[in-house]
Amino acid sequence: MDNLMFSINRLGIQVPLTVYQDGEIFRLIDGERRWRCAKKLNLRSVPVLVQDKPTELENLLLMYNIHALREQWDYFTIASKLTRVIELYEEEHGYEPNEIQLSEETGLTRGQIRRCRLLLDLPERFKDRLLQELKLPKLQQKLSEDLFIEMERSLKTVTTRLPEYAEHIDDIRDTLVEKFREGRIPAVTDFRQLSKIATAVENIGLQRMTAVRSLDAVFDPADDKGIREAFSETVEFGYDEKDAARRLQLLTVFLDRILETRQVESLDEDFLDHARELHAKLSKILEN
Amino acid sequence: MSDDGLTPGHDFLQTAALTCFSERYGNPTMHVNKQLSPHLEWVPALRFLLHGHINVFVEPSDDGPYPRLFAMKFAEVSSYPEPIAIYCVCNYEAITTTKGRQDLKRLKTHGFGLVTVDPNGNADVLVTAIPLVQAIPEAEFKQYLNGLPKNIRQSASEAFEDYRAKPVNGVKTLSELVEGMIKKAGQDAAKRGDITTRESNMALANVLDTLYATYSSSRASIGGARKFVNECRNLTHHWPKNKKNAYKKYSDCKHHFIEGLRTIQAFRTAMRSLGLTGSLKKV
Repeated sequence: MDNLMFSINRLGIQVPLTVYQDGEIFRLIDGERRWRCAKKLNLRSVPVLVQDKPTELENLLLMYNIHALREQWDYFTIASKLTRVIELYEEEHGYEPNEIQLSEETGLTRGQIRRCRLLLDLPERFKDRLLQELKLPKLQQKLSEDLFIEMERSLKTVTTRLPEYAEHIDDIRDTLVEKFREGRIPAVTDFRQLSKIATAVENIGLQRMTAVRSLDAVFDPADDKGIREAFSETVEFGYDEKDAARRLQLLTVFLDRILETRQVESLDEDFLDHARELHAKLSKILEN
Repeated sequence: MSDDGLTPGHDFLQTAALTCFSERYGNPTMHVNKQLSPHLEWVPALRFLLHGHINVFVEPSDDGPYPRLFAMKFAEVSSYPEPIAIYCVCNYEAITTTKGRQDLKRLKTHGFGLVTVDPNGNADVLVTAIPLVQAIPEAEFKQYLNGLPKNIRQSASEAFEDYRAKPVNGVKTLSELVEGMIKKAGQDAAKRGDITTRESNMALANVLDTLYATYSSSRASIGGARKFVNECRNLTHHWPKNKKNAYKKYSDCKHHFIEGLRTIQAFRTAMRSLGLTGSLKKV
């Protein structure tokens, strides 16, 4: 915004604003930031292009497409207008648009639409909290849209795998938001580890009760436990082990190829050093 | 984002600043997003009148303590024929970064003020703004001190501090410094036998007259010092209610102060060229 104001102050508004006439007044279609700068700089006139009045749906879709090309709105703003777009689309076409159609019409990616839907599905009080937070200066915003998007994604995974948590979901949200605010959950990406605890029962054969006990501690407001601690105590080793097994498998395939193609002589000294080290460590492990 | 805000958090900062200035200055009439004049190309987020003659502009910033708008509008505001003091409002964390601290230093140097706001919305005036017409950048001030001895530099810096708080006081303090240099020149001249001790102990105007008559080659500098002291030692503290006259008074004070600094340099050079110390006697 500073740069735009600097440019307008020096060179004036080079690209006209787009407006349409609505009775006695003109309504802005494109150029909100230029308009705000013009008001701040006390300009007496601004250049405009006057277009025909668009329908509400045309207007909203135009907004989406303009913002897809320029500075994007925050997700909450996108999400709040998306509901109206869906309603108007349904009125006009007689059916609700699917994700692909919405993406084509609005210029949003399907991933963005899914993230918007996660925010739209939040209970009203959380939406209000988020809205209040977005009014604060950026440096003072603690509860971001990313927090809610990551949290909702992980809770969806948790309740799908462990449905018993679905009935307490609002209390769980409260606890997680509070723990995040207090720094017991230090990063929004920690919520991905919450999903990993829930999926560990299927993925690495963790006992269901162990996963539940671990999640119970995270979801308990009286317990100090954060997601990282719970993850490291229960499933981190299991996932690391799984990852190592996959790498060993890849190594085995590579070694098979060397033996089949008789390229042992081509291996350089560096590789052989690592192989010897690996051999020594594997022998030690396998002896036990 | 508000209807007129330029950045997120604009309303939060503006509300905090409004409350802070209302409490500090006894509820002055606050103008929100209202121009001061069609001739000034800046509509501040908040504006109010202080002491009947200073327009105070308040502008929230989410980009740190020195928004680009301030640099852009410095010249225009300084030359606008009414005194205008400007405050930036930003959140406290913004001044804790390296860039924030650098910007804060620049902000102070240029005469702007700063209000910081904590996460609970409590605002605090960290730096008091001065009317920009009064502002003398510190770098410019220091240029005038080049080559002066420590005791004169210290006294001039004290005068500069006074000037920033109350410009009339600053000019008066500086005129006392010049008086001290004149007295010292009189003593030096008496010590060397150019004038009598009695002549050197007379009233300042008489000392000046004697020096003027004695050192014909330095009459320009001695006359300059006399003019400065005559004009500035009895400046009135009374501020005109009319904003245009107030602007003139601030502007005059600034010119007097700079003239005083030039006088010190010129007088010292002249006295040293005569073989005197060009130093200072405290009065």
